[in-house]
Amino acid sequence: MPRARLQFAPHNGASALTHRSSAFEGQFVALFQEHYPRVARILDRLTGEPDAAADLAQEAFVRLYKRGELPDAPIAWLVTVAFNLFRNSKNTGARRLRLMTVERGTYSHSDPAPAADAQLETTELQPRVRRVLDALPERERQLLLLRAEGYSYRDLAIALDLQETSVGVLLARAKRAFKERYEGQPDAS
Amino acid sequence: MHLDEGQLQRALHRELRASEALEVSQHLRECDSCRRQLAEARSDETKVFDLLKVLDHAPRPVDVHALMAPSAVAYRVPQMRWAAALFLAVGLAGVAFAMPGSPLRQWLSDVGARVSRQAPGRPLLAPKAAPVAADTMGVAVVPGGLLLVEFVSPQAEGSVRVRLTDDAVVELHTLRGVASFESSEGRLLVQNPGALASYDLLVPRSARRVEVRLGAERLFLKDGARIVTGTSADGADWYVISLRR
Repeated sequence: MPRARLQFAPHNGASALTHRSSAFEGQFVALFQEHYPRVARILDRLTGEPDAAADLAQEAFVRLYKRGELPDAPIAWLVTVAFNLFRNSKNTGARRLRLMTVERGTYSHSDPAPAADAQLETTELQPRVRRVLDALPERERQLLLLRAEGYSYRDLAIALDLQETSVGVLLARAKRAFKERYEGQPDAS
Repeated sequence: MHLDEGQLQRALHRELRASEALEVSQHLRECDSCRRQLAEARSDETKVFDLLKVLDHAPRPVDVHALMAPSAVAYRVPQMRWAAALFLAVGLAGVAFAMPGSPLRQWLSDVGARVSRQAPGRPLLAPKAAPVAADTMGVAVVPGGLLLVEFVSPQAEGSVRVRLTDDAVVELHTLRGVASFESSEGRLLVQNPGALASYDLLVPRSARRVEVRLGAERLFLKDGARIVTGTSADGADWYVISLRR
């Protein structure tokens, strides 16, 4: 069956834009290049849906760009927006609707295939890790994912509304919870 | 006194506060137990973070400059929730609209005619019954300022017939064959590699600029009232353009 899509083309997009300084644009590009892969990876790990994750990450950056200036803590701002977008999309089910309406995974055809052994190992581990991660409380899950990308305690504290002094202890707790749940699973190695 | 969990984590992540850095470093030099705990914390963290990597997929390449384009900023990601719902709802409506004998077509036509009388000149999905074959699928797009209809590849047979209408939307119908359509801002892409279909393209007279291309080759251009194409309209006002190359 052919895929038929109907979409309304925009008419006056440019008029809605505000002027952005070239300094801001430069900062935005640098920020994007450094952090987009990390934010997208966090969302990918969180959602298990790479296309939805990429869409959400891009939307977070588009919102930052529309803002026209960098916030005081841009990383924390981006992560907060990305998490909120994810929460909203999950709550409304829109994420699934969107996945039904866009082409998915076009990159997967062109990426080099992983080695067979590595692929097998990943395929076996993935559902276990997914179950463990999903079973963690939301804050512990977010802490782990953010720290795994190397974000600072300050960014973690701002993004997750925590005291910076508690981040270390909470991180230790999250890692311990993850490890115990993982090792408590059958066939965990 | 040994280091507490928070201090161990901060030492691990080089997040020690200035006020404690000297004291913690000194303690770690002298205390085997805390050094061991720090090494274990490091090892545990590496294991956890390595496990998280199995969830990763190859990243989709994104051009930041495309993201900064006015169209992306203003429209690409306006409100994902309703955009997704709109995509789905309108997509389903489009399919229903294209079904042979669809009552939706007539209903839209009636509604369109009524609203058009109330708000003349406003862009509106108001297709009227088009002379299309029985086995058609189609897509309708509001043309905006510029619409490019692009056939991706030449075909072994088949043609596109273009006709001007008094409707407000561009309609593209596939006749006797299959192809898929992808619509984005200002562009309707016809994925027709290997297709043998013919197509009817209905272009509103009110559309400012609609261009039809076969790859890079321009087949048809409506620029205001001006029509540029390599053929003249037949008796039924169709411009018939072959897709064979």
